[in-house]
Amino acid sequence: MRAVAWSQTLTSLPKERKPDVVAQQATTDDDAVRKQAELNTEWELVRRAQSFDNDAIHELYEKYFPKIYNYAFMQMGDVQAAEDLASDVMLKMIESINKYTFRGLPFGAWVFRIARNRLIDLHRRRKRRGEVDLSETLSTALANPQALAERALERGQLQIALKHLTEEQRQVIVLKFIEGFDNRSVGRIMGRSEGAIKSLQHRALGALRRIIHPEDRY
Amino acid sequence: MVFRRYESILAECIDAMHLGATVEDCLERYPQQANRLRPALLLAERVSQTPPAQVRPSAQAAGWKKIEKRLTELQSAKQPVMYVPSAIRGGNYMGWLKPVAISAIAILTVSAVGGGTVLAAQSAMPSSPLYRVKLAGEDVRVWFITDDTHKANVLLDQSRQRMEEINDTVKDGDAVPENALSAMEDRNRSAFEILQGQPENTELRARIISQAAEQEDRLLALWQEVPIDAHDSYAEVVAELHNTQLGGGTGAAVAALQPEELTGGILTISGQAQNTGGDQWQVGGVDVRIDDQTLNRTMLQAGASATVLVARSSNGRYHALNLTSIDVGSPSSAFVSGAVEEVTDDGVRIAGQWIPFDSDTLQTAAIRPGQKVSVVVKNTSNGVVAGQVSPSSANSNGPETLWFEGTIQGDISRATSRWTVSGLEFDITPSKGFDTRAGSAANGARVQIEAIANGNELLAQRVTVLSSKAPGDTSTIIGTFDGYISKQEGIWSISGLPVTASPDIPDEDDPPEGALIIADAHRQGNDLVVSAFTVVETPSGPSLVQVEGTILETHGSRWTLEIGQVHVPSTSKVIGKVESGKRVIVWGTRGDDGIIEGTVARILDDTPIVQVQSEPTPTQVPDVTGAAP
Repeated sequence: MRAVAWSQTLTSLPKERKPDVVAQQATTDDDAVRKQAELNTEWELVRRAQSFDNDAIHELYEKYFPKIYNYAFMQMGDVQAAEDLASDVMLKMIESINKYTFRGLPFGAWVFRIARNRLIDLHRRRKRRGEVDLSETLSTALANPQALAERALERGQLQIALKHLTEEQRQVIVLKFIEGFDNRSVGRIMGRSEGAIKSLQHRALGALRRIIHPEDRY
Repeated sequence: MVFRRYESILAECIDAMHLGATVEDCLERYPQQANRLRPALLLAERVSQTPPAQVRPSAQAAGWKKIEKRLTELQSAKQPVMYVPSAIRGGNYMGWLKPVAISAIAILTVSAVGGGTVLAAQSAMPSSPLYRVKLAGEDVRVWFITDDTHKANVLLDQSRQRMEEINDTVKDGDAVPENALSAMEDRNRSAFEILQGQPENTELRARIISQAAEQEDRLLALWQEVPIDAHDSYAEVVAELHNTQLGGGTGAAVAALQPEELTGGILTISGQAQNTGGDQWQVGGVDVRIDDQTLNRTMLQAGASATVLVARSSNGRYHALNLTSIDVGSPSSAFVSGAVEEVTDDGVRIAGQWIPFDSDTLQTAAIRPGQKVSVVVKNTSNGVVAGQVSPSSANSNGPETLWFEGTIQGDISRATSRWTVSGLEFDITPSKGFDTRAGSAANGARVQIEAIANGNELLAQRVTVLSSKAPGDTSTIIGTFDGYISKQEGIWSISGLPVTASPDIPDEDDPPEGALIIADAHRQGNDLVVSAFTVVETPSGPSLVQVEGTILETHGSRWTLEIGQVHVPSTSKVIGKVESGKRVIVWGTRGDDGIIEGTVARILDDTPIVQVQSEPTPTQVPDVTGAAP
């Protein structure tokens, strides 16, 4: 129904309308209300968690631990390391939760920012100690990323392809397309502007496509 | 019709798909871009449908147990340790009561944990749970001191102790600990406040300024070891130390450095300084602001050669923090990379060369024999010492270092994060230093950039200008031959950089995989073509030490560099003309006499760039082919 609404909107709008307005038109009123309700519910949960309400914290933990684990695993490829990182991030979330202030952005963006910083620190620390960079192990698992299936990307295949992107491109792909954050949230997580994220997602998709289909020009 | 950039259309379509639109909806909307949009949107759709990794329930449950335990601690920390009168809690109190109340809490905390614990805590490091007890014990000690000058000195001693703890933590391979940093800042601030009440106390003032300078230097050197989410608080501490010096010891400078000016990183720039108007200078061709916030700026004269410690702001502009030296062309630092033969608290031995440590030596990780390290060697009044010791990138499976020599293209004087050098684009922002003593970094200058490849990006680590006018547009690449990107097409990878091998290089002469090579290259259209190369080191051969420095003098085949003598026999390969005052990279092994025996040497400069004391006439000088005359 949503798609039909968008196409109906498209036929009715003159093409000179600004792109932001068109994108907004694609959102039904129900979507806007639902999104706002979700934000409000989460904010209430966070407020209770800031008073160290056990149940509220448990709910946040159950929601975000798997997401952070997936985020870490997509980039590190190691189960143990991803579990450890997710656990660290949850601890940091609890310890710093009183520093979070609701500014119209999802609490999740704040949590993922902690996760991203932890991941960067972990890579740097391992490099200093001369340990193997876990993200490097993916490249030995399958030397030829071009041997990826044409249709749906399996997780392992995507991980290998991601390895061949820059760190920023990798972040955009994971945060935007896998975790589902909007450009504003991705920008807050990465410390970049929305405009920069739009450019990055364009380059990231192009680079990913060249890895998977090197014969195509994007 | 309004022109829309493709990027903007793509972004709109992706956002719409997030809200439920299909790929076909978008293609109908933008039929003219459909051919381009279709593959991108299909890929975006496939990526978003990737099933998430499933976490193990046991791991999630174990994580929750840790959270529960921490939650209990946090919940009990909310309860007051003792009754604090509302007159103090509510903030409506007489100012003199507050320090009494805080110290009383510290006493009670110490009493609560017991004397034995306090004793055990005295050696606690920042990562230890007893560290808070240690700090509380120090607070108690200070509280009992009635003489303000004595109190300030004790606080400064404690602050110095925090700096040592930070050093030791980093030396063990961990990030700068925020709790130690915060405690250091508190103690400094308390000492500054005492000085404000005793402006005539010149001895205390001198100590505060000197310690602030030491701590700022050390913290700036540790910048890379700071966790990203601690950058803001770190920058605040550094700014406060800097402003303490500017303000003569009280922390209240008239022109204060702001923490956000440090967010882009720290680097050193060495080169000739020219004033371009007011506070604007160019050092080695790079725009730098040198103003009231720059320490020692009064020493700088236009035309002098200087080394400036510079902060890069978030918009890429450079602001000088400190003028660290004014010198006309004397050698600054040398670099030694190789396997550790011996390491003690006093120094490290690499390829027979003993490099001593001093109190300023920075170690960024634990060092052990057999490990490959990079050492920055500096000249001090006590001789040559190690300035910094770091694990080499060769230890890990991470990207290898690449040195690329080429010609700067375009204007790079303004705040720009990207330089184009012989057709390659480098991200300059991670670099830790610009050495422009040989000439200004400007369009047409020849530079050597030490970089690492990150995906499609080249991240500069160090930039060295070799001459202000490049003799031609050839390039030299020093790096590791990773292997073939396409053997059939003759496309190699050198430290992550794709290059094309000239058809004149027979396949059987290709370098072995993993070999360190020096390659001559030139640009041909979009390709970087390697026409010749020299193998420096192979994986199956002996592990070499690499020394970068300045030739101070030559006695035949013996060259004296900053770190000592190297022997470059006639059998070695020497690229370039040997002359004192020129910079060189030498690769070699430990000789029987304990001196480094060079196998390959690359002279970087066409003309000497530093003045040396004496110029003995060599009796035998290897020519460019390495053959004896």
